[in-house]
Amino acid sequence: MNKYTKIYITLISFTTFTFLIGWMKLTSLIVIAILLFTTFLKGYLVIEYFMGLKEVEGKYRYIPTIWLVSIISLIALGYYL
Amino acid sequence: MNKIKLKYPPGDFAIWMIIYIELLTFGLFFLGYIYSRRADVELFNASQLLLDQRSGFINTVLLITSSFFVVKAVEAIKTMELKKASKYASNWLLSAIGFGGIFLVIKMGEFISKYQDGINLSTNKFFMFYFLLTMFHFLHVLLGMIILFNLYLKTKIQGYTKEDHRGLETGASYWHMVDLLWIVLFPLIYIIR
Repeated sequence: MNKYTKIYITLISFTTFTFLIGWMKLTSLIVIAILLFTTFLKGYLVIEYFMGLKEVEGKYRYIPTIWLVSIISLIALGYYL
Repeated sequence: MNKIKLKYPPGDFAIWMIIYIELLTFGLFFLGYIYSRRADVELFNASQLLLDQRSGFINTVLLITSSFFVVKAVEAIKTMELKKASKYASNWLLSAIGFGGIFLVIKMGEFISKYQDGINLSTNKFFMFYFLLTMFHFLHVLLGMIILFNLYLKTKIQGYTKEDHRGLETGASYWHMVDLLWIVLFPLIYIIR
C-alpha cells in the first residue's frame, strides 16, 4: 500500500469518526476540541501530501498550514469564549 | 539522505495566488459564521439539526475520494511510461469528475429539499450562511470539474509527460483546495454544536 492510499484511508476514517460524533449528537467542549483537532489533521494531510507542499521549501509550503491553524484556532475561540 | 525541496509549489504559480485568495475569502466566511453564531447559539443549534448530516458525510467522502483519484493521476504521469501513464491518468481523472458530479447532484438535492421545506437564504442567519457557504463552494466544485475535464482531454492525447506535467499539477492543486475547504466546512456547518 503506497503512502497516498494510507493517507486516503486515514482521511476517510477521520471523516467517519466526525460523522459518528455528529450522529450521536455529542456536544461538549471536549468533543468540539476533538472534532477541530481531527479537522486540522485532515486539512494538514491534504495540504502536505495531496497538494504536494511537503516537497516545497519555505513560505509557500507553510501559508496554507498557517491559514488552517489560524482558522481552526479562531473557530475554537468562537466556541470557547 | 535529505531530499532537495522545490522552491515553488507544484503547478503554475498563478494558481497558488488564486488558492491563497480563496482560502482567505472562505476563512472570512467561516469566521463570520462562528461569530454570528455566538450572538444566537440556540437558533444556530436548532437550525443545524434540520440539515441532513448523512448527505454532508457522503459528500465529504466523495470529495476526498475524488481528490485521491487526482493524486493517483498525477502519480501515474510522474512515474509510468507515457502511453500507460496517459491511460491510467485519464481513467483516474474521469473517476474524479464522476465523483465530483455525484457531489453536485447530492448537494443540489439538498438545496431543492430545503427550498421545498420553505427554507431559503432569508429564513434566518444560520441558513443565510449555510446557503452562501455551500453555494459558493458548489460553484468552485463546478469550476474544478471543468478544469478536470480539460486535464482529462489532454491526458487522452498523451499531452502530459514525466518532464512536462505542469498543467496537470495546476488543475490538481485547485481541486485539492476545493477538497480542503469542504474538510473545514463539513464539521463547521453540519456537525459541531
